[in-house]
Amino acid sequence: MKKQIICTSCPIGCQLEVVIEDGLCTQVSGNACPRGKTYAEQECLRPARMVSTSLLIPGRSLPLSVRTDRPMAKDEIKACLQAIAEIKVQLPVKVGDVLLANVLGSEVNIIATRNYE
Amino acid sequence: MYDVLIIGAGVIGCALARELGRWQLKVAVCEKNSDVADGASKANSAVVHSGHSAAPGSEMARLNVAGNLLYDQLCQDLNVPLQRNGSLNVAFTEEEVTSLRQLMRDGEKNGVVGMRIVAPDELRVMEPQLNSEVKAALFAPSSAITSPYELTVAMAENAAQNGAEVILNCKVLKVERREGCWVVFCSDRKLQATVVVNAAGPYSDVFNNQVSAEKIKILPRKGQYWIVDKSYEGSFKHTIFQVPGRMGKGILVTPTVDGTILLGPTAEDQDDPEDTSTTVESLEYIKEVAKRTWPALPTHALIGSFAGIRAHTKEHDFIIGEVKDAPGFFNAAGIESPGLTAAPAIAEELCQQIVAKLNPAENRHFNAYRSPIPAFRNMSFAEKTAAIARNPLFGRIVCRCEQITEAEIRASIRRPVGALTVDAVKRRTRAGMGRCQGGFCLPRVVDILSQELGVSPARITKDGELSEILASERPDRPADEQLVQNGSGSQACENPEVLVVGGGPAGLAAAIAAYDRGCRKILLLEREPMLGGILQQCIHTGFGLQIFKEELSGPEYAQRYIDQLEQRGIAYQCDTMVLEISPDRLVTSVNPKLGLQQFQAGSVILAMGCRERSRGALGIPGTRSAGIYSAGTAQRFVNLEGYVPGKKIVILGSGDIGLIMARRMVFSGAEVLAVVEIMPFSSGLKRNVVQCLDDFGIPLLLNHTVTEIKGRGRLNAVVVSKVDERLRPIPGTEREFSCDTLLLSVGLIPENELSRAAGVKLSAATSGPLVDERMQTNVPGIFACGNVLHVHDLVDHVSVEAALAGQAAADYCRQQSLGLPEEFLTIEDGFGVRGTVPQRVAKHSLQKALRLTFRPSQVFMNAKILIEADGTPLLESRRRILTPGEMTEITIRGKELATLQDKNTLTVKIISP
Repeated sequence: MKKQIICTSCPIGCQLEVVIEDGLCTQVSGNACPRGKTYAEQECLRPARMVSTSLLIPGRSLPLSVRTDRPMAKDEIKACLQAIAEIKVQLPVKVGDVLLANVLGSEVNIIATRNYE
Repeated sequence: MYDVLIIGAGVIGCALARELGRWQLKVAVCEKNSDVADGASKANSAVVHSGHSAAPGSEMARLNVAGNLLYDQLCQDLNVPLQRNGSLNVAFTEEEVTSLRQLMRDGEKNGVVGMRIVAPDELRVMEPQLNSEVKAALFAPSSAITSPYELTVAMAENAAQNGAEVILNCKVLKVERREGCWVVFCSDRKLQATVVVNAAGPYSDVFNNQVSAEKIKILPRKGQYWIVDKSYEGSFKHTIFQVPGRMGKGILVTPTVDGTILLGPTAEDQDDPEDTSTTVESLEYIKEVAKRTWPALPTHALIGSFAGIRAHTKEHDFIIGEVKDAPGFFNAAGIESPGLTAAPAIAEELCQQIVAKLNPAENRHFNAYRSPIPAFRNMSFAEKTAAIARNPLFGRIVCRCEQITEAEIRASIRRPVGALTVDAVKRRTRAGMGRCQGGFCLPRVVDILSQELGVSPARITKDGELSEILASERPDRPADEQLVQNGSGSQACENPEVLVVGGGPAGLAAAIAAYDRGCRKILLLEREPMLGGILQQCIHTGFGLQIFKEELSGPEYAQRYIDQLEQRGIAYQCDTMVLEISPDRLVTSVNPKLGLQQFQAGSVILAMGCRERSRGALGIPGTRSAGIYSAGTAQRFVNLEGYVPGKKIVILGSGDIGLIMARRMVFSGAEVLAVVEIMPFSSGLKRNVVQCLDDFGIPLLLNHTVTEIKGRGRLNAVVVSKVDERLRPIPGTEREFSCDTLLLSVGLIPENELSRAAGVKLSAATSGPLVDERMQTNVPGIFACGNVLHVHDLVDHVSVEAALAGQAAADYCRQQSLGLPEEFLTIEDGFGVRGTVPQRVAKHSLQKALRLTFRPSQVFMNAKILIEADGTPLLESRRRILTPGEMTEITIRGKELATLQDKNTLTVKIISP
């Protein structure tokens, strides 16, 4: 089966054509870089996305922005957002600090994207 | 028990309340809305008419002429603007010339002085923009313009100073005569008064008919208007009418005291006294008729529209005075144009009648004067310095378009009859009235209102009940915490060599590059409390892939540059707004702690970024409800303030911010119904369509647009229509989406007000400065980079471009020029290409590679980019896909550049297969 997908690895957004056989991606074309191939394979297997959101810090007006440190399985984004909302942050934090490791038992960590004192 | 209770705090009610202050009377004004001047008084032509258009012998004629005469003193006492600009009624045919003569005779009968008929020759001198086909005009020198809501607010404030009570949000339901006095039943209270004055505008028939057998009928008549941007200030000096017709004075073109130009009004009878929605047909009609007066009408500069309701009667005359069968009940009913003009005369007359009835003692403490909120923007340098010394909040600009300070906004809330809503703040201070239409200042104004009124931001409304701005509560949020991160950064740097205006990605990269080029006296000024610019609210990822080879979020990308800036010890000041840049690079800035400062800079780098196009610029008809935000404003609410601005959302425009916000709103628990795009393609990046819309099943409706906005208070629906190939809505394709929020992502506009004032020439294609290959503008020593130069797709590109500007600015300081006498090669846009930057290249630098960027004007598949030198092909490059959502780059190598010494023009074009 042939399928058109758009690579979201970077803002260029290459239009990829993939061949899927038995649920596996066997051929990728249209990618401008190797990341496109990885993306297409993942997209056929189990799509994953970066997740960015923010957390309210009680008593402070500025929310703390956070993100996953790698793409999160798309079907788990909702649960991931829920897990993030439940994080109790100990200030101060620095950019890159892990606020929640192995979210939902995955390899994905939630990191701070802002210095917050 | 009140002596006098006035129903309605419009211009009539407030004028009377003030006038009654001269006497020892207990006066109250009840207003159903959240502010004074909230009906016809805020939405009219703002003209103080001379009085020739009212029928001789009518109350209108008498009170118009009498009211006009009172205006000079009134506006002087209350410190309200008044300009006696004079009016012209213009005639296009001989028949209309005859009508003019009749108008003049009527005017003379009414007591209008100084009128004369003006011939075409003189007209051309008086009004060069006026249609040259005008045969003659009637000039009336006593006609004037004022600010009707400012006047009404001023009269209400002055009335309150003299003891009157102005009760807002108090709707009168019924008036009844009981035991020798009037009982007034309101929504939340019951009041008693000896005298009741009915100044209820379109509802004045309701109250009259409750107490009198002599019934009256008000026929609400809607008038719609267009506003022309201030950049056309001076196009007309006089108020220009055409020859009046049966439905009123017709479509006028008039300057306003704010510097804008008003076109309108229409005259549309309707049953609903609250329906102030605008309509496509009427707005088109106004344009068409106004063009007769002003053939060069700049339709692209129509920045907004609005509608007001006049309380018309069949008899078409004012109904003023005590009602015969209801002693103690006074009417000021049927007040339509020239009601504003007549207001002071109506107030005097009613006051005399009430005084004759109640016989009160004179109020010896009456003070006729009212001082305005000091306007920072109108102060001299010394006055500004003194104002900030007195109150540091004069040093913090909240509304950058109109330069309104936090001190002014707080004052507008604290004064008598103070502002309770965002619109009330706007009317009193102009905050949010500028080009961005509140896009930047709305979150700040909401915050300040919430602090001053002691209520949660979620309770702050646009203009009263049911028009809340936000859709979530945040009880954990502190009432007053300054957003200060990265230090307050208030370092001094006298007369810097390189001064950078703006601490977003462009400014940061430029400052760092200037330092690395050897410059040590650098100062960066940033208006927000923290560095990083718009990146601080762009918490999604996708930044830095080209420069850092990592997928970072906006705040992380910004932090990398902030760290570099701090490692180098480059001086910067946050919370600092640049007010002016002179062509010889004298930069004036303001900061609440440091006050007003001036820097003589060796070179200046413009890095002020861009703003979002507002609803006004789109001219979507309908109501002016709460719940319409630009996508960036919504992004700020969610990501920097922690509030959700809505629950059911439609997004107009598929720019990247709109797409990103679609996903962000879903993450915040909202429902996004659709993204509506007028073009056949998305103007955002493809990856954003996939990961922000497709992933969440949000439909992208291409070739569609929003054609109507519905809902009073908060928005409750939008109508979406399909458009044809000329982008016109197709009748019959309307679809209604019930929603509480409309987000706009319809384009970004470089913010070049400072640049223009510095003498920098702008490109029509990019709306940014015209620059050479080193990002230098036409003004020597002034450079530009980032979104102020042209709107970028990726921040990585901004950083690269800004570094060029930073290096060049550093070189300029050292050499006082960039070298050789400059001879330039011009770079032009050809077919399919828009906004090539740079627009020229110095011939002496035709050695290194030259990188050109542009936006394709439409989507092209398998096309070629061709560069021609004086018509001869120089270079071509094949591209699989070119889309307007992405900035396209093409580089000319040294080998090719070397052949261009004797050429004049490069043209960049697209060859489509």
